[in-house]
Amino acid sequence: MAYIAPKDYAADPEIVAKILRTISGQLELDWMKRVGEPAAFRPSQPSRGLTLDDINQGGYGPDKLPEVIRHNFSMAPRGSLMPPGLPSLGYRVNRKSDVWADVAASLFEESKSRRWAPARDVPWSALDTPAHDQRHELALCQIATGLISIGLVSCDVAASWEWRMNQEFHEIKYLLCAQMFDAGRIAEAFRKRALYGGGSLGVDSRPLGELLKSIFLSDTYPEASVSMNLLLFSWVQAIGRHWAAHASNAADAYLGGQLAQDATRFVSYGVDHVRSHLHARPLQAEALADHLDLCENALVGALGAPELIEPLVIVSGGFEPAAAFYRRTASEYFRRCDAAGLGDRREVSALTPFLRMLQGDSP
Amino acid sequence: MSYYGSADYRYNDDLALRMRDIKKGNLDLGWLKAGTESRKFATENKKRGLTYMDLNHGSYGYDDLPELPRGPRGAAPRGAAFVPENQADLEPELNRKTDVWAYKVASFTEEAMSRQWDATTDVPWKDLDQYPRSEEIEIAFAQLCTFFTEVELIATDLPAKWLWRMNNQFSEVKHFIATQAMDEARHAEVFRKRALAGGIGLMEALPQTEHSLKAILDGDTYSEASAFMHLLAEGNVLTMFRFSEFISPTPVDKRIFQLVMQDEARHVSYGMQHLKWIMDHAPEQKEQLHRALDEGENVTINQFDAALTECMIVLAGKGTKPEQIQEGIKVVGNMQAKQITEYFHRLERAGFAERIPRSKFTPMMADLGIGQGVKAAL
Repeated sequence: MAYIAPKDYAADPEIVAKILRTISGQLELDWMKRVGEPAAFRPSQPSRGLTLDDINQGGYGPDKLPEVIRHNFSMAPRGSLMPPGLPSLGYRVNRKSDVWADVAASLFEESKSRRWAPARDVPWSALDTPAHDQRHELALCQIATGLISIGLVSCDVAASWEWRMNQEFHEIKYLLCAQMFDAGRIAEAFRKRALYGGGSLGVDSRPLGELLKSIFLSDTYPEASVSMNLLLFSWVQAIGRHWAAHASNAADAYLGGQLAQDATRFVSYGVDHVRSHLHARPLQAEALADHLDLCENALVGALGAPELIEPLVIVSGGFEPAAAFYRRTASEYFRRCDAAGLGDRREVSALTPFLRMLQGDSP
Repeated sequence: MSYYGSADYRYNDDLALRMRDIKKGNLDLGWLKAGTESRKFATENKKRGLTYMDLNHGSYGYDDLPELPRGPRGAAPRGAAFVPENQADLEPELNRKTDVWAYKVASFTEEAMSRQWDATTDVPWKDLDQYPRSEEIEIAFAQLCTFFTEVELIATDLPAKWLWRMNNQFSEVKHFIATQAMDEARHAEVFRKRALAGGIGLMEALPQTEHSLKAILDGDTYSEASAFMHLLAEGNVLTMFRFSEFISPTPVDKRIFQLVMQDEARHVSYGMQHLKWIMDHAPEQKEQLHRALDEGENVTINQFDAALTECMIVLAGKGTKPEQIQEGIKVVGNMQAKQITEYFHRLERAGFAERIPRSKFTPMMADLGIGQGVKAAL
């Protein structure tokens, strides 16, 4: 047991005495006088309900949060009164610019309002008579196997940082819980997709595992965020769209659409987070760029691995459509990097020579 | 950057040759010969859809997962083909099934997925103005909501602290824990919103409570932390939710407690079934769990004298007049006795009844002369 209470309360006569005083009706009630900032917030748009943005006002909102949290390492909610004696819960991520994105609260709201459950919401019986051949089906199962791995490790990444974040950033912590939930659902949905009917899982991809490990073992949260939310999920989002666009049945169309929708939240947070991080601390651009150099290199390994590119070629109907899909997705990703303040990564990214390779040019 | 991949793909002849071959239509297709099991999976109950339980067969299932899944340490899903020496090792720390597993965990996960709700739209916030409350009742309720906002996020932080250390073979448990994190984020959200919609705002954080939260977060093993959090702490909170529904000042508040209760019951059930799994499969861990709960119960006792007790008394008695206080004390006393008896019943159902005579609650309740139900449970 790592934490030992300062007293053996069970043997503390003062505790029993206090409880007996309470039982006899001698209440202190002094807590009733310790009231903070009054608040009676209401939905700004009744049809949307009471959102986090509606209650983020005055001392309860994040606007007055300092860049470095020095006043609260406990679980006291932001805006509550903090008496002496609150312990430190050991939070390690205490700088606002390391985690913050203004869009986070809305993305958390969206994640709840767009909830879906793979067990019931996917029309699984549409897979009973898929309008594609067996090789195409096995290619989808192989892509699904990769998506399950992505879901499992993305859930780990969000979890590994959430518990280290200061409670003052509760909107970000909420969003990371939603990411854990969304990533777990990706793993669930595509496991079910691969196995339904007479399906099977495919093979593990070492290069994909290396990409995921590079993200999982990021040294800082901004590095984890830029590599997972902005880089990895740009590709997950694109795979979702591609899956839906090439679907031969209602189940696959639904799954691809939902994957793209959920992945878009990761990307949106990533762009806004990196942008605000670099706005507050522009010198961090180099650290993020270094990390992306390595993760993009790992991504090239995953994109070029037979376990991914070959099933994509089959599903896309040939090499050229698959290569076009890669080019389009890379282009979108580069635009997002630019929008996030990372500059033009086309010239430095390992993706660029890889795309040239796909065109048949010398890398 | 802690991890560098094994290859530099900017200068990789193998990759260039592979791309040239694929472009010419010469696919390797080695992945088509995965050699994984092919089975006919179907939905057993159309209404419930395709569940994890439907997939629980053969190499893809969890029943046949051994206590020590030797080999898999990476991102490969259970049942996929992988080469142990060729996987990217994610270095999981929890690799024994007993470390994490619980009976019925797959059905808990499915339930969590199907019973998602939204604190923004599923609570009729606009109706709050229809129900007049005295200021002292609203103050007491604001203190109660402050407490719930404060404690609920421990049940996101603790699962998050352990989830990424678990082997990916235990995907149903990891998924359950992810759903719990989301549930608890939603709980913290709904109580924060309620406190900030009622007119009073947030009140005071509780140092005694926070020491309990710290003890939960600092558990030495996942099972110790789970026994403390899922079984003891969330069990207590579940009883409080039921009680709070009963004493809620408005129907809007009752609705909140109805929504959070179903989630909390699921978390407590997981904790109980995880403990039961340990009792059945690793009874040698009993003493370690006893020691963890000795300290868990110790810090829990310190919460009895907090503002928390008094705010519940005011709510239960519907005010602060002496007769209202007396009524409140009666109701809250029953609730606190119920917390202990329900905890003891859960220990019994988990096969850990030997804990009850050793519990720190037992002599304390006797000293106080309350809780006949506790004595009955003994």
